[in-house]
Amino acid sequence: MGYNPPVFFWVARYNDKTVLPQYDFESGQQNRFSDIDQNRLTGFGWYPFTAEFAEKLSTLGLTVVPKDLPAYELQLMERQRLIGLMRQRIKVFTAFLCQECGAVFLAEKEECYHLDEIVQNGKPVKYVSPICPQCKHFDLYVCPDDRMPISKNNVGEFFCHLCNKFYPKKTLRFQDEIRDTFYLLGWQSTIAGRNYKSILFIDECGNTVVSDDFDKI
Amino acid sequence: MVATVDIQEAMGSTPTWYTVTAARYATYDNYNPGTNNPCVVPTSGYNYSYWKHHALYMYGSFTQINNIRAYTDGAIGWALGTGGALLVARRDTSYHGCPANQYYPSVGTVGTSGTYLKTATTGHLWYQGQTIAPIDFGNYTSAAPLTIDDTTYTSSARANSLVTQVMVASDATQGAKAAETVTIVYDEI
Repeated sequence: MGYNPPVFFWVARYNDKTVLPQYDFESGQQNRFSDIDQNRLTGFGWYPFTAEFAEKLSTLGLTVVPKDLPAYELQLMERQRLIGLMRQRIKVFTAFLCQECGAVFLAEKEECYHLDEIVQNGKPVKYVSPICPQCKHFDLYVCPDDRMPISKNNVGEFFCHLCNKFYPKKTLRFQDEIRDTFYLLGWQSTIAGRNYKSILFIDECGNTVVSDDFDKI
Repeated sequence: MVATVDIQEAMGSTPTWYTVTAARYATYDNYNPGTNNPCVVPTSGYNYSYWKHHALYMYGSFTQINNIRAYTDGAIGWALGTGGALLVARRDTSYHGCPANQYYPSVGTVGTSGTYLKTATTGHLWYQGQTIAPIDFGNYTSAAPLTIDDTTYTSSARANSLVTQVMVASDATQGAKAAETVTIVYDEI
């Protein structure tokens, strides 16, 4: 899935007491942020999906995540302009699958790796192998008996060419990603030639941080 | 709804873009090289990997996407030697990514070294004439990410590429390296 299903949807409030929701409450029809009439805007909010609303949207092919979270609403004062957007993050990392025990794990620190160091042509060569946190297995890249690098034959088997022992690889590495979203809700205003802003950063669990730094998160 | 955004890597002269599945630096141009043509520790000076282009490809239903940035966890622990680093290409402008129409395929000697991306006449055309040099990508963290693209996209598009290259010094430690994490962040409405 090349996107992170939303947890909140927005609703724009107008000065005539009408609203424009991101998804029509009855039909599920989507409205774009650019459809918001900024001249009539008096308030804006991020609202969590109910299970019923999420079910309705799923029948339209839209995947959203209902959560029991509060709504976050902002009432805009005179001369305040809306700051309302989603900040999307994609964290790309390498994960490992241990075929010995089936564990899937990350190895993000030096201590998560087994280190083998030998000397080749007068220079140190290090081989790192991720350690399964569940069963402690790690693949060998250096033969423990002969202290020689393990080679691969023409059928893809790993072995020591001195003692002919085989050392099959049981740790698979694969790339994966984690996506998360922060929902920004705030205002900015120009007063006496200077720009002021205040922004609420809301994560997908409803935790919040307030800052005047647009790049706080 | 939200945009669908894939991270893609370019390969070849045309280029062809592939959704990233196993990014690894090597001494040839391939988005999924496995352990073929690994980076080589030189006897003196520096060797380089072939440079890589990684870009966001965005499509689906959205109003706009902008403020595309990237960062690391701040420590690329690959022991690349004195002066060695995972380099990220930079421009003298406010953004540092390479537009799709300025793509330049990586060149070098297969199995030995890529050409340093800022080499005067044979390096990457988008970067070779810049005053600012590539820098250790580890310098860019969540507190101060690298701006890849300052364009505001309102329809399907491929954003500017993050261009990176490994620089290996003669006193680098040989061997397979631990995996590293990169985070891409962008704003969407």
